[in-house]
Amino acid sequence: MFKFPKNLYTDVRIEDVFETRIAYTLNKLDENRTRKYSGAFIRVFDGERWYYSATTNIKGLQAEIDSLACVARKNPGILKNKTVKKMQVNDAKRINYAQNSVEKIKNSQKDEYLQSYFGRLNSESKIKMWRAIYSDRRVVKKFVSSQGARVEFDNQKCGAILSFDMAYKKKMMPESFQVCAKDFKSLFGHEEEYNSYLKKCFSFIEESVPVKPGRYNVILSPMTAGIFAHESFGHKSEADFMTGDETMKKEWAIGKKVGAPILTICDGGSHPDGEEAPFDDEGNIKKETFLIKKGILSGRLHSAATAADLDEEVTGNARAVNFEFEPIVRMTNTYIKAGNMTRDELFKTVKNGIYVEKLKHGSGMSTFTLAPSLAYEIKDCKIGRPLNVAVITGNVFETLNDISGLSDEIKIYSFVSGGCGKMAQYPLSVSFGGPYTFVKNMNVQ
Amino acid sequence: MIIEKYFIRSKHSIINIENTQVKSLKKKDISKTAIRAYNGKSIGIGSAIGNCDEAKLTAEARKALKKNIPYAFPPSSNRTESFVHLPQIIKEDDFVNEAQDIVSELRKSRPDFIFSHEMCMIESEARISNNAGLDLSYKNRYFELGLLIKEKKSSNIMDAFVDFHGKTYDKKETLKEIDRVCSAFNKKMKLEKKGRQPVVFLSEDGLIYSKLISELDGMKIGTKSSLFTGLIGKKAFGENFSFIQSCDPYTDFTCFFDAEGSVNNGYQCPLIENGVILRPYTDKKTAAEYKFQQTASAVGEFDAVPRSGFPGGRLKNTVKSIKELLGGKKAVLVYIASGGDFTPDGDFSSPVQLAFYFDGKDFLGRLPQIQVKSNIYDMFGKSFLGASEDKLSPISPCSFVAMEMDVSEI
Repeated sequence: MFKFPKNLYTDVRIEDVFETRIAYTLNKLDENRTRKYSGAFIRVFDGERWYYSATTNIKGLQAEIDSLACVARKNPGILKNKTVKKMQVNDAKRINYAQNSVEKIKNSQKDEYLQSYFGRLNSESKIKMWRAIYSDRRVVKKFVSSQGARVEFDNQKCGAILSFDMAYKKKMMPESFQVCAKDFKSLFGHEEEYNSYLKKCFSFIEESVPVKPGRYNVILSPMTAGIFAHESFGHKSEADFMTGDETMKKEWAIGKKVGAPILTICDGGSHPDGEEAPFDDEGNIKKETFLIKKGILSGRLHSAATAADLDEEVTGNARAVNFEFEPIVRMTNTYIKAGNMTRDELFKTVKNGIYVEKLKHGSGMSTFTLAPSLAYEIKDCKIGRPLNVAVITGNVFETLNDISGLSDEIKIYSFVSGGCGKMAQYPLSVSFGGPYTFVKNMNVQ
Repeated sequence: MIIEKYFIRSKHSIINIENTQVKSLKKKDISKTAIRAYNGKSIGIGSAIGNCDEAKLTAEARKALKKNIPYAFPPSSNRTESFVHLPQIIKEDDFVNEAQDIVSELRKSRPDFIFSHEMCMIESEARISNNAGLDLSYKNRYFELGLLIKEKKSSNIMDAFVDFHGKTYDKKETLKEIDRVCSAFNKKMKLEKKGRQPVVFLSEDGLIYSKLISELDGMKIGTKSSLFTGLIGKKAFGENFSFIQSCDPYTDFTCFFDAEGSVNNGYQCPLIENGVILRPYTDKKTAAEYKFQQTASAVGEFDAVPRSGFPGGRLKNTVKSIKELLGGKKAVLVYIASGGDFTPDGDFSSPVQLAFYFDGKDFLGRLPQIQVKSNIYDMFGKSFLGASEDKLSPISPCSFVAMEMDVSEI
């Protein structure tokens, strides 16, 4: 155990990581590696400034703590500091993946699983180049603080990423398919989904035409609705953008109407497919937070520092991308709650428009962007021809009010690669989702 | 058997700025080591993050050869070269004070804005050496200051940013440049003309190059899945357009060798010259497989088998100054464009969250949010105006790239 310096707040997060990556390009093995390592992030706080250190020298953590403490100013009143008071003193262990750890699965089983996808990739003439990756990661985090917090928890993800470049006549198109699960045995059983997805991609490259740029009524699939929620509103719910900023505090006052009355957006929750974070990276319990409830701003995401600044409760959203970084306010599992129409009923409300099934990426400032990879016209309330769309944009504040219909079931998506970027911290694993979502009058280019 | 050591280390001192105040100090020193074993047919890798026992990693690498990861290319050999440039940009003891000075000045000079993000001193090290006579090492120290700028009365998360990196630090110029951006931000202008007009991008804005980079991948061209399939050796772009892969440690702050220990002559390799696509970028495997020239473009994590990727590049400058290029015309300067993209056919569209009118010297004022549209063959073809040598400011890494585009208000 550490000897924490007096008159300072200190915490230490140690991460024990196991990772596997197996990759093939066009049937040839590119790599097959496993990594097992530990790293730690130390924070010392004197009430005014934080002092951080990221290190792989686990044996030298005490010396590192002492070295940071030398730079900090001793503060006898540190325990009364409002940020320190927001740090929960939890004593808990939530190890969920010790029994079904990916570390216990033989490398040959992982390799065999990945190879099970190759047949279809090889047999399709439109696929000119493909790369298949198996990836897994289990992290066990141990968090201790000078206040007495002692928390240990783990998370795990594994999956396959199949990316392929298609060519048809003079058209080229890159696409990818991912399977993601929390344990190895749950990775199986996606063949039908995979085959149907490939078929959809082949039709897309054969039949797609350029979109006529303009304003359209748009239906977003559950996946794209989730990215929309994450990008357009989720980032604005991260309270570190508000600290010390009186305009933002007024603009984003709880209780303000920010969206259509049918719109409810949450972060967290215990959805089986959602990002798993029982505690955040400063030891606080992760809560489900309603960001928007029936169109009204209802909450925001906090670290201890932002909760103290805004005099609100912590939400357990201080997250770091890995041991090299300090926790900052981030989303976990952001989703739009279901509405009350069936999918068919929702499509019947849009005579002509565009259906966006899949995105390459999205971004969220006041003008958000969604870059579709698979989009289709809606004609007479039915999905029609595939369309090449570069980008869909809109003003967040207007678009949230333009949400006009939600289907009655939601889907949550997690991914084994990529993630959310904020400042220097990319990619943070997050999940998102929602129902089929009808948005009026979007700018499609 | 050839045994090769690949070592990378990054050492950071970071000062985090929040709400125009120094909020935290961070130090990070992470080293990563991989030992590679080559037997002429395969590669095996043993690796560690942090302190390591090289003998143990070598044994792991030898054992990993049994995984039969194909690598039938001779490892790089018989070359010794070192780049070490560790200038004392700011004394370690003065680093926090300098950051405090900057934010204190900004609180006084620009009370209408909030500044946040970070100031860093970065020491980056890489070394690749083997028992076939290869020993390449790179050690560079540079400074970065990135500030997100938010107008106090704005309800945006951020309104503008400044980003400086280099080998020197000049507080006066830094404050001058921040003031220039803030002043232009405060001066609202209308978009005078819709439709086709000159648009200037900052050279470091990767958005406009993203399609070029993805389609110049040797694997994609070799497998005939690139938009540029069949265009090698052909003129696809304008006479004045040249795109160069560059890993020049003197100008680009990047390592001069790739992940396979390959080095280009003069650290550069032209991929497109005078509009003609000369070659794709390749690692050893892609070059051998599809009979392309190898371009020292192997990338990958420290413990991965190197694979083809784009390590960095730039356009060849066509004129000395952007003012000369614009010829007295007013242009739209794209300052922040986030989230735009190309369609598979090469059509391009992007919202521009922050644009200024620009005369080649001054920011004349802030435009409303706009949208720019074009196509990859137009952007770098008939609509390409050129790339200039001069920089946005004496401390900015960015020069200018100009082209005509379709511009409209969002």
